Amino acid sequence: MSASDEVWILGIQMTKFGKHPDLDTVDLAARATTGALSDAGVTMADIGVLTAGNLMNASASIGQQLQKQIGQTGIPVYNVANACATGATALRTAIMAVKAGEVDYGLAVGVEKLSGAGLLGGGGTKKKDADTWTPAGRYGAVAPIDGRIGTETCPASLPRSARSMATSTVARASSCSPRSAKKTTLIPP
Amino acid sequence: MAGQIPLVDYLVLDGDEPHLVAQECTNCGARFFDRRNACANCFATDFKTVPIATEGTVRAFTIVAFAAPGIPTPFVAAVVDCGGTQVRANLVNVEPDAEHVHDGMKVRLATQSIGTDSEGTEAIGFGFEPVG
Repeated sequence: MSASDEVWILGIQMTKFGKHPDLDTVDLAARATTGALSDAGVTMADIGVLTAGNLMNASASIGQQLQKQIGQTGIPVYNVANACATGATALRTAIMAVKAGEVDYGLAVGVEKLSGAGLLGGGGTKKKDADTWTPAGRYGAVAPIDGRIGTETCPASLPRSARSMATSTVARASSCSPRSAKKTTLIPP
Repeated sequence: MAGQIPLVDYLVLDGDEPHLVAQECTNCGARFFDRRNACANCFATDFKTVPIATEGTVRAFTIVAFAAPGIPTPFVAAVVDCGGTQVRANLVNVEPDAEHVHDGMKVRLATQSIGTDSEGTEAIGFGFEPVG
C-alpha cells in the first residue's frame, strides 16, 4: 500500500430516521455497518480501520461496542466526537488512513439517539411499574449486574430514543502500483 | 415458588436445575451471552441457544474492594471455564480472600436471591461456589 489521492466510496448505508424504541445505539450502528459492507461487497475481515462517531455518549467506546457485535478483527478504532461535525470527521479520519496508504479499506460509521438532547429533554413518559423487576438491555437484566456478575467497565446507559439514525461508509484506495493495474470505478447510487 | 425472574435472561431457572444458556454461532461455534447483531468471530448472523455446563474451573479472579452502592465488598469477580465456555461471574459461598480462592479451583453454578419487588416477584442471580 502506498499513499494515494485516489480514494473511493465503495459502499454506503443509512438507517431510517425514527424513534426506534427497541433498538439501541449499537443496533443502529450495526445495521448501517453491515448494510454498507454488503453494499461494498466486502466483510469486516477486509477492513483495516474503523472510525465511529457518536456525541451523546462520546466516551462509551461505541467503536469497540460495535466491533464486539459485528466483528472483532483486531483493527484500530477511532471513536470520534466533534460536535455537529462528528460524522464528517469520522469519515475524514477513515479517508485519511486510506489516503496515507495505511489501509486498503476503511470503515466510517456515525450513530446517534437524540433522546434528551436540547429541547427534546423536556417532558418524558412516566415509567409505570417502576418498582417491579423489568428486563432491559442486551442481557435482559432486571438490576445492575456490575458487582453481581463480575465487574465490567460500565458502558454509559442508553437513553430512550427520540430520533435516531446511523450512517456507514466504506472507503478504499485504488492501487496505482505497477504490480496491479486495476482500476476502480465509482458507481453512483 | 411464587414468581421468580432471573437477574439476566441467559440464566434459566429450570426448577431444580438452573443453568446458563448461550447464543452459539451456527457457522463457527463461537458462544455469546448477550443479544447479538452478528458473530464477532466470523460475522455470520444465525445463532442457536445452547445450555452451558454448570460445573467449571476458575481460570482467573480478582478480589474487588470497591463497588457501586448496594454491592457488598469485598467480592470475588472471576472467569470460570465451564466445559470450554468462559463465564464471567462472582464466586459465592466462599470467603473472598486469597486463602480461600485460587486459580484452578472447581466450582459449580449456584443461585441466590437478589430481592423481591412490589408484586412479590423474586429476582434470582447466579454465582459459582466451590465444589466439595
